[in-house]
Amino acid sequence: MRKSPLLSIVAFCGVVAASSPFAAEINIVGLANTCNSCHGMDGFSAGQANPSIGGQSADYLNKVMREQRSGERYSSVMGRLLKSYTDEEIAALADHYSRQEWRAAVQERQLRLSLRGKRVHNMVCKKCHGAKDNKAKDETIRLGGQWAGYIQAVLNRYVDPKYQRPSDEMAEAVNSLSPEDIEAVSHFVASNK
Amino acid sequence: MLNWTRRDFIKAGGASLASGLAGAPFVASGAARKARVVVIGGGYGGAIAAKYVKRLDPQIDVTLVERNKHYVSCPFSNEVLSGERDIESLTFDYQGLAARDIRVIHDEATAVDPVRKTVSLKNGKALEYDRLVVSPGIQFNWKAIEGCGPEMEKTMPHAWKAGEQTLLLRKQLEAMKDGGTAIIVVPPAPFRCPPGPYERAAQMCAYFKHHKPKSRVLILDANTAMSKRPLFEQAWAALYPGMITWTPASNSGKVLRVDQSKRTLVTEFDSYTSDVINFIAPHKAGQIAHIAGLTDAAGWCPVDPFTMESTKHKAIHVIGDASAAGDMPKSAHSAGSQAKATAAAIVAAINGQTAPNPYYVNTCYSLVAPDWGFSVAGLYKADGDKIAAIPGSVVISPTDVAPFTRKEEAAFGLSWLANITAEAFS
Ligand SMILES: Cc1cc2nc3c(=O)[nH]c(=O)nc-3n(C[C@H](O)[C@H](O)[C@H](O)COP(=O)(O)OP(=O)(O)OC[C@H]3O[C@@H](n4cnc5c(N)ncnc54)[C@H](O)[C@@H]3O)c2cc1C
Ligand code: HEC
Ligand code: HEC
Repeated sequence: MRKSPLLSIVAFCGVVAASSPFAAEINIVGLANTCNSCHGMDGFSAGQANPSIGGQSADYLNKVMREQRSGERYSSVMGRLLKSYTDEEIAALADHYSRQEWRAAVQERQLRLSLRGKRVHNMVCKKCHGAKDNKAKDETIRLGGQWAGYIQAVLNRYVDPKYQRPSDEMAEAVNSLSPEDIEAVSHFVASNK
Repeated sequence: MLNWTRRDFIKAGGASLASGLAGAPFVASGAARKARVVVIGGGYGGAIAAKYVKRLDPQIDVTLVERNKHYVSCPFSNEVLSGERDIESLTFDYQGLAARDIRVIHDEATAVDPVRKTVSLKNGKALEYDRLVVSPGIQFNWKAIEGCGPEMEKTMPHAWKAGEQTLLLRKQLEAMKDGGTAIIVVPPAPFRCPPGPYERAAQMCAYFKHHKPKSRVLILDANTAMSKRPLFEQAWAALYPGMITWTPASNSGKVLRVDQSKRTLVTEFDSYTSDVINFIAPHKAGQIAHIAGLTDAAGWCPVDPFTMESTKHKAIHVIGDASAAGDMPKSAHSAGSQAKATAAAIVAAINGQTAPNPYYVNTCYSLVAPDWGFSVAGLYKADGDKIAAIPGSVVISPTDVAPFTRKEEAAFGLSWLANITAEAFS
């Protein structure tokens, strides 16, 4: 468990965030509870397409949410929701979710899809993300065990040049993947825990 | 306040608020009696409220009163009309909540005594409470339109409470001859799920397109504004060109009178009939809210925006569709959001603390085809005596996007359903 002293103060004592339109003082339990209807209880999603966020690193969560808020990172709904959040609120949320237990996606393994996905993973993803990628790391997504539906959504965005892609290198590496490859590698990564 | 924020309930796996605080009303010197919270209504609002009270403080005795053994979700029930899904996929029971040590009573609450703090049940028993949550949803205000009455449900189904009604409407669509026009009658705002009627028109067309391509949908609307209008109009034109006609109130779309025997709907200048009339009558707060004296002249329940506590009776919190929640639309997401704020306020009050800041959020996904979804999202806050939208925060999906975005939002919508139903019922 990571513990940054600054974040602990933010999360547990309540700070006066004068610019927050939401509330003068952060109530992290209440704030984090608003995420549950989409990301699941304690950040473990019950749906295939919405990402699990509990147990990712605080740095990664913080970075992603700030980029979603500014529009630097494309998002369908997160950017709209985060627009009114302050830096302090985002930091408190990142800290909160990084302390939750990571729970890997539960899916029925489809053998053919999984084998094809493993091939794609070996050839394309592994060199950057590692063989398992099932640990929380600074500023990077923990991939292994994330829901297939979400990985698929991310890769669909990456192969469409119309959208900003946070990593140019990754865009270059994945932009020729076929829809079938995307489905297969997403399935494989979800079970790669 | 500081006490509250210092405790990380979730990390502690829902461990109790240390109940030994001096002055806390229910743990006084030895002879402790558990605080009792009763919740009326096991829809999205009531189920989520019961769950979070227990989660925030397992010491509290929580009872949920719900008349039905099963709950059928309205969200995504328009997909039953297109044949995309069956009603079972939207049907939930209360075993998940019961397993969390919430007492579930399947009965009807027939009266509330706010002075004695009791709820009467149809079975003759009464329940005592320290705090009551009322989340009964809506009922129809049949008197608002001449010629209307509850008997219309059988011939012109509203399908605005999911279940039998949804199946009846589906049956009528199946029986309709190709070339017919199904009519959707939209009540004046406020009604539950503002984008619902327009999503429904699309879902009806999804069925027609494959089975009755000459058929049409006519929307007779008591309003002049349409929720998510640019998104619906774009989708209708792309997916169901020429099949949907929207007639707003400004164009004589408001139904003023109904002749049930002739199946005619009369508006200012026109009169309509059809084999399929989906008549969604004007709404008001569920019956028990009226019986309990919680409603205002408009038929909704005014509440304190910080705690959702009724301004009519103390210790009673009204949430969900029945409440007059300021700028928040009547949706499942809103109901759940209000439920969580209420649960926190109740747990704080029971433990002798100040209610923490409420955070109110709404989102609502609309699916107009299996691979075409979009959403509205907004944040709200307690502002003086009302719940107000945070300026600039209520935003719909953009119209100028690549097709995969619609597909992606449809998938995110399904995940929302999976998560909010898990939040409520498991
Ligand atoms: C077609 C349609 C589509 C929708 N789609 C969406 C969507 O996509 N997203 C969204 O967020 N919202 C959607 N909604 C809105 C959503 O269904 C409601 O806003 C939500 O259900 C409100 O929750 P509630 O708890 O206030 O009431 P309800 O869900 O109606 O629950 C009330 C419960 O109380 C019980 N009850 C009432 N009185 C008593 C009594 N006296 N004793 C015992 N039990 C009682 C009822 O049996 C019921 O189970 C949709 C609605 C419709 C009609
Ligand atoms: C309406 C549903 C909804 C709500 C509410 C919501 N999210 Fe999200 N979240 C999403 C979706 C959908 C995505 C995928 C990105 C996108 O398209 O917006 C996402 C993505 C994310 C991501 C990026 C995950 C990754 O691995 O890249 C983070 C972090 C996140 N959300 C945090 C939160 C937090 C914290 C909250 C509560 C304050 C929250 N979300 C509330 C739907 C929601
Ligand atoms: C050239 C290196 C590289 C390759 C190859 C690569 N990635 Fe990535 N990936 C990255 C980097 C760097 C990030 C972090 C960028 C960010 O989101 O900030 C990332 C992020 C991601 C994310 C999270 C993005 C988000 O917005 O949530 C996913 C999912 C992902 N990669 C999946 C894959 C998969 C699956 C493959 C193989 C098909 C792959 N990546 C190949 C470098 C790579």
